[in-house]
Amino acid sequence: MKQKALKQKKLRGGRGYRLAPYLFSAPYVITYCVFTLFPMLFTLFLSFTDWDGYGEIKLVGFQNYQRMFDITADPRFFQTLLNTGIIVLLTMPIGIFLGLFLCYFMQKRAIRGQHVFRVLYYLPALMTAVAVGLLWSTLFDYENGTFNKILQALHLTKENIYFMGTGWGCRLVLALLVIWSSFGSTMLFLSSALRSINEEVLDAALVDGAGPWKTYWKISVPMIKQVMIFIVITGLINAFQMYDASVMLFSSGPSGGLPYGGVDRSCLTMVMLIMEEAFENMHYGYAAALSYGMFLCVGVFSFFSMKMMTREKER
Amino acid sequence: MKQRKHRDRIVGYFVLGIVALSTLFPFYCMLVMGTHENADLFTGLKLWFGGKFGENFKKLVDAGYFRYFLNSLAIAVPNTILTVFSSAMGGYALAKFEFRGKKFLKAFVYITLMLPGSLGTIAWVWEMKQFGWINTFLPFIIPAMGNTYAVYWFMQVSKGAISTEVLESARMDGANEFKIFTRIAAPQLTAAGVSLGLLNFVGAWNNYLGPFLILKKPELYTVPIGIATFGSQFRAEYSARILGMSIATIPLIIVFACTSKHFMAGVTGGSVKG
Repeated sequence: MKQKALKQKKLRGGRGYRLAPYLFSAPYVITYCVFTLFPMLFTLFLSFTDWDGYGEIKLVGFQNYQRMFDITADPRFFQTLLNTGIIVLLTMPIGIFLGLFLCYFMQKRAIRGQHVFRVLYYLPALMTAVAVGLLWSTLFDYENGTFNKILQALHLTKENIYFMGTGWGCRLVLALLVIWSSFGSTMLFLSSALRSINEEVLDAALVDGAGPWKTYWKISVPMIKQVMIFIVITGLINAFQMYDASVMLFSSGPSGGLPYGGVDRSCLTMVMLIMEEAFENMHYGYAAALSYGMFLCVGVFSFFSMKMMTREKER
Repeated sequence: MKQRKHRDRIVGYFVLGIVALSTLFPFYCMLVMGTHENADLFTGLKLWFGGKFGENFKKLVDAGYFRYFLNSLAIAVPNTILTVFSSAMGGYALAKFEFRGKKFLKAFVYITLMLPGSLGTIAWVWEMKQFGWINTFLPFIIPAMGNTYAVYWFMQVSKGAISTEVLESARMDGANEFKIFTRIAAPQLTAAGVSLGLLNFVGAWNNYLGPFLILKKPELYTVPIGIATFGSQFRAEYSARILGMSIATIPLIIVFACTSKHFMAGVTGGSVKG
């Protein structure tokens, strides 16, 4: 025992061993601090100021935060919260249910080419979000959209439907876009979790006479509850920060652009609002406060997702 | 019983196939629209390829669209290489060494893992201005070394993949730490590195907001900015623009198709299991 400790000491006492971890982690720590942590802290400072990006930086205390949380002075902060909540409610339940439903068929050994299906479902997630937004704006366009033409070719409608003519219409089209581009990765998470379930448990249930359909929904699905919560939380975090796809969706249709954030700004997200305030209206201080407002909302969820992510690995 | 199994299988293929077709339909529309003339695109329903591929392609060439590809590559490749190397070293150090401040560094990783990426964007743009990095690619290359998620990833992988005994016997033989990392640790991290690198490459390639705020000269535009701005002034360029989108998507699909197993392992790599 003593000898082992001595050996350990000899092994780990060298100068190389002592220095190595610092040298190895230095590139990460330094670049992270300079390019991510510092801007975050400087944004925190800016949130207590009034600044147009060029002139003098004026300290204003909590004024920006007061305005942000005062729904009568500026309702936009709460509006983005509501919009994000609605988009999440429109997309997550459908995405997860669809994923679970498809995973039921993917479990069976009799189905061949499962890998090919998984690849196909994941393709939309690869596409540049900007391109996705542009593509959907042409598909759902009022005058020239593909879906309008298909509906007319099938004699289902006579007139063009103005899909994105109302706030809720915008939300529904955006929700479809989000489901389309994210359910592939949802499926990957679900199926990798389902594969990790102990098969004996499932066999026992099958022997007890429960059919495969029932076994799946009553036993397998509840066992992967953790992963479903994880998917919902990451979906929520992404919804707060959605920018590329929705900006393009509303600005680039062939029949002309819609307002930033959709009709009635029904799809305005937190990051869209921050970018507009900072780089359009040059209200850096207020935009910085909004960034921290977003952080307050996202932080709670990121905390839980981090906890879930790390707990499993420590075991 | 056997018949029932047969029926289940058909139902399974049917459901999976329908969903696959509806997933692919928007892609298909994109490919088709890129081969038509604008006027045709706006008059009737086009569900089959047209003959204007060459013309649209020429418009893209004339507009300098392919320059954007080189720019995107010039960002995404070094970005990915730096991310993988720096994070592999950092993660390995955290997983395989005992040192002063290790607890602190671990806490640093876990806490920064929770910070949303867009939190500091406003001050970041200002900082890049101070550095004189506006209209350069550096803001998308150098900061790649500070990727918390990637460090966390390599830390987890290193714990399981690299055996402490092997490292110690190499130390007994007098190998220096850098050699131990490159010769013994790094090969064990290759598979995980490929998965992470692929994910990172796609992320860097598709990044829009950062380049949009930093790169203000058209000759520096990346593919996403190119798509967002190309011909947006004239409705006349619509089909060329959509062709540009198809062309921008195809390299990613090829990369993905060749590496899908690694890639999909990467997507779920950092997640929870049941």
